[in-house]
Amino acid sequence: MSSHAASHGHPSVLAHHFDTIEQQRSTMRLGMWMFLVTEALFFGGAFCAYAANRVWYPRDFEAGSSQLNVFIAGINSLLLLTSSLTITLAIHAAQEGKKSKLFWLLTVTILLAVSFLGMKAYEYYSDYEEALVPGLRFDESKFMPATLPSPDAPTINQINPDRVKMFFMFYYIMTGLHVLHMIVGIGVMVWLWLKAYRGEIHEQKFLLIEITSLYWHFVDLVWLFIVPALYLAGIHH
Amino acid sequence: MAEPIHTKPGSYYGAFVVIAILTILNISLSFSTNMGAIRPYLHFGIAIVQVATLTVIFMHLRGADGMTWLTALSGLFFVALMFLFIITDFLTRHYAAY
Repeated sequence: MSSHAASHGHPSVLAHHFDTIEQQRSTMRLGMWMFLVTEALFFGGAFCAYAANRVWYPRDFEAGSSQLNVFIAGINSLLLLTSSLTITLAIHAAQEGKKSKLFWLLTVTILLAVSFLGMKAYEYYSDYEEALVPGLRFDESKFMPATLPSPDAPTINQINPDRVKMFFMFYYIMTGLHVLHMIVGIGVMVWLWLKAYRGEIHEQKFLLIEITSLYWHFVDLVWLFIVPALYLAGIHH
Repeated sequence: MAEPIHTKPGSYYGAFVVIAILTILNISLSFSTNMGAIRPYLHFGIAIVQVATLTVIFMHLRGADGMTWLTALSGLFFVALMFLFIITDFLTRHYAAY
């Protein structure tokens, strides 16, 4: 709080350039929504490039997708969704001044997010073991007609391993960008967690949690589109 | 948006259950071999319902003020515009013919 604000008798969380706390909160929310629009355009560009190439090479992309681990994707979806629930409940805990509940909800949210990253790291390692990393370790024979699960499919001879590699580059770049956003989100949540641990987040400061939750829900939103785009493009067995 | 948030926690649990069930459904459908060309539309259709639930309930678009709605919808509009122009360009090049 600025001393200027204090001299005007504003509540302690009110910055001096706002008239009311409601105006300040609306502005903070709007600022985060504006930021999320730029993020939507950022990820939208990646999804658009992916869509264009998938339209051109549907069978190659489906063949690559079929090699991905859809079980890990499902578990990660549920981990991220649960973390969205807990951070939303944390907003209410902060509003109600329940500092202990807030602390534990933030702890669970961070643990769920870290679990997601752990699963993702294991998945990347499995991809490497299965030779699905273009430029590093890639087994083209997996995508040759004779080794595919349905050799009698009429379009099988149209699969080109080079195009499958392109699918995997989209996979690593898009999931990598998502992971990067998760790391940023976890960093912010750890900062909030430390503030909650020190008891610094009281009823008037619930918006810190709410603004962070908007970002975190957006990370969840992107993942909800990554799953059908990358993991569910092909048939799994 | 109303001050403070008036969404009841029950709505969050409801949204959680809906999105979780749709997640399981979406992944289960990827094991089906007889869906044909409708597959991507079904997968993305389910994802859109999930995202709508997430934004309206968890991100509190329900009860948000007009400026927040305008901002969110403008983001959607410009992403749609980007897709429209770029995909239209790609689809009309007839690249596959070469």
